[in-house]
Amino acid sequence: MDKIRTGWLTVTRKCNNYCEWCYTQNKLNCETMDYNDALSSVDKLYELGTKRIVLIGGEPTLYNNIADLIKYIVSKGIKVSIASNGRKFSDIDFAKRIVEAGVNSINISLKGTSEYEYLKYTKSNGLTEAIQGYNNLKKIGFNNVSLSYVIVDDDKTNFDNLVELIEKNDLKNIVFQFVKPVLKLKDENDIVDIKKLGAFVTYIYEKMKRTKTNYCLEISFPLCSVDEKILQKMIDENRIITCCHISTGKGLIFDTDLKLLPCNHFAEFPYSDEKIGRLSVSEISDFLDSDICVKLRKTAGSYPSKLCIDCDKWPICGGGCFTRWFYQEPDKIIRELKGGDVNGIN
Amino acid sequence: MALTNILSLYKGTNILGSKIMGLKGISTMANSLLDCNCIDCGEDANCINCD
Repeated sequence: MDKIRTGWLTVTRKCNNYCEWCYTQNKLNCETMDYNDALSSVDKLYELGTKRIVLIGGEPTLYNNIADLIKYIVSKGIKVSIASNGRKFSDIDFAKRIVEAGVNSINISLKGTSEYEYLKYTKSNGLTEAIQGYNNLKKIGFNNVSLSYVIVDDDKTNFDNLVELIEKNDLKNIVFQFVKPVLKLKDENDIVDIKKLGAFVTYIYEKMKRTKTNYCLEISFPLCSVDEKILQKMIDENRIITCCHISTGKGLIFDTDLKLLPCNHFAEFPYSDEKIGRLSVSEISDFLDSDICVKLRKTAGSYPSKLCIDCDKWPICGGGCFTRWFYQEPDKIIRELKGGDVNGIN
Repeated sequence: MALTNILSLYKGTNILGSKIMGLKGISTMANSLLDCNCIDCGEDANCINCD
């Protein structure tokens, strides 16, 4: 069966940070995936054709059985990655244990540019530990480690501080991710100014041009917000990555209780309140073809605005994270963006 | 809370777009972009993150 390419296992909702922008901020608790459930989820993903499993949380390194779970995933011929805040890797013995278990890649999410900022955003003193964790992984010869950083606004001073931190600590391979909405039922989400964030991409490009750091941008809003020449340069340099697998239906997230999620940002909105992950592989497969799953894929794959239909950037843009259009009016915003001097069609 | 509730908030069109494909990504970061949510675009893939 070639149903699911990438699977995410939410092994625990425990976290040693409490980030103010976290998409699971309302679900951070002690819920943890039973180890037998984790093994059975791996088996099911294997049967569904999964090539890569990403361990997520909460903070997945707080999962007691993480090393054994990695070994099990590797034994099935599936690649395994970890999305972490990196703090636990400051213990070099832990880092060695995880690397020896066979992990293929680790992404460490940076949460601030100084200890003060880290504390402000996460309620924890973790920046030094995160960087120590990164360095420990490098020290033991594990090079497949990257960093990510969520950009929430167009604060140039903050970005300058980030670049200084990156250079000072010789950090390589960083993914800048623009903030995505935290899903809520009420229309009370923090609305970001897409035009400002799009313009900020130019600042990032010019700033990063002067560094030796390898980086890319996951832009979660329409690319017509970005200056066309800068955008083209970034595309040519392979610095833009697209940000959603939902329309393809090739990704699947198992929550701690084996409810299934379309994306880890849907932590509070599973496909169903039923624990579908406990069903048999064929039942899961049938469920993924059910009305609600098809509806979700179609929604995610729809043009947010009719103005997107003829846009040549659509194949790499896709309108950004479609959940943004739960809270903002795509027609109005895209009309404003395209009506200006960027990628203009009217 | 069921997915249907949140989907009802969608303000975009119901016109299905053409298939979205991922970019090649960054070669040296290929296997590291674990949380990139990149497009798993099957036979049309030129996104090396998928393989």
